[in-house]
Amino acid sequence: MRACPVKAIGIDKGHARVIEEKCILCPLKVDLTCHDSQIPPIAYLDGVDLVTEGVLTLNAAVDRLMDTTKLRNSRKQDGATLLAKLLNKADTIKVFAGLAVNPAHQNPSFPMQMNIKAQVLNKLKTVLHSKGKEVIIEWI
Amino acid sequence: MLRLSICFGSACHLRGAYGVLNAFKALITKYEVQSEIDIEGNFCQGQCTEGVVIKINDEIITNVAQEKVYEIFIEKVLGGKQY
Repeated sequence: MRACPVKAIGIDKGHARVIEEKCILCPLKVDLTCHDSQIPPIAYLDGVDLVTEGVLTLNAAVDRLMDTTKLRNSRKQDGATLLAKLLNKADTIKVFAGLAVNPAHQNPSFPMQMNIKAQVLNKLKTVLHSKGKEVIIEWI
Repeated sequence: MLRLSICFGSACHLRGAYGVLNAFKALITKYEVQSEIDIEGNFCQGQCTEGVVIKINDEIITNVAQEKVYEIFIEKVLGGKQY
């Protein structure tokens, strides 16, 4: 991180729920006021800077990171924009990625970008590397 | 006070969680039961292949589509009474 405190970002329902129930014992508060038909809502959890849904938000965040000028000027408050802005401010990003596979994501009628978590993370790594950032992905 | 929780995880989101939310909100306003029900969101109820998943108090209801909301609302919120 660039001379600022480490940011904790919780992505993916599974992780958020584990953090919520096993570690912090604080309720996760999903923000239902920010409607975006494309991006699931964000949530709030004490001690975590941003909590979002998983692959849909992450994939959209990767898209937003590809146009940094547009991202900087964007006033959108959806999870993907907020996540992309946080990632764009960081020098080093460490991702703890769960190995679990959500069976619902194997549904052939769902968008292609949902199919494999690793593909989205590789895209994220590539775009962040291209901006000179260090990215460490740890599968847990 | 009833507590309604709607899942907004990726699978439920793609299956129309916002539509379900808006349908419940519209009925709550129409029947003026704002003081009787709290709506909240969650990111997983562990039944991702059967979305949209909602939870009313401790009861989990799966495969909820926007079109099914009226029926659920009448039964669970209004106690089966149609006004």
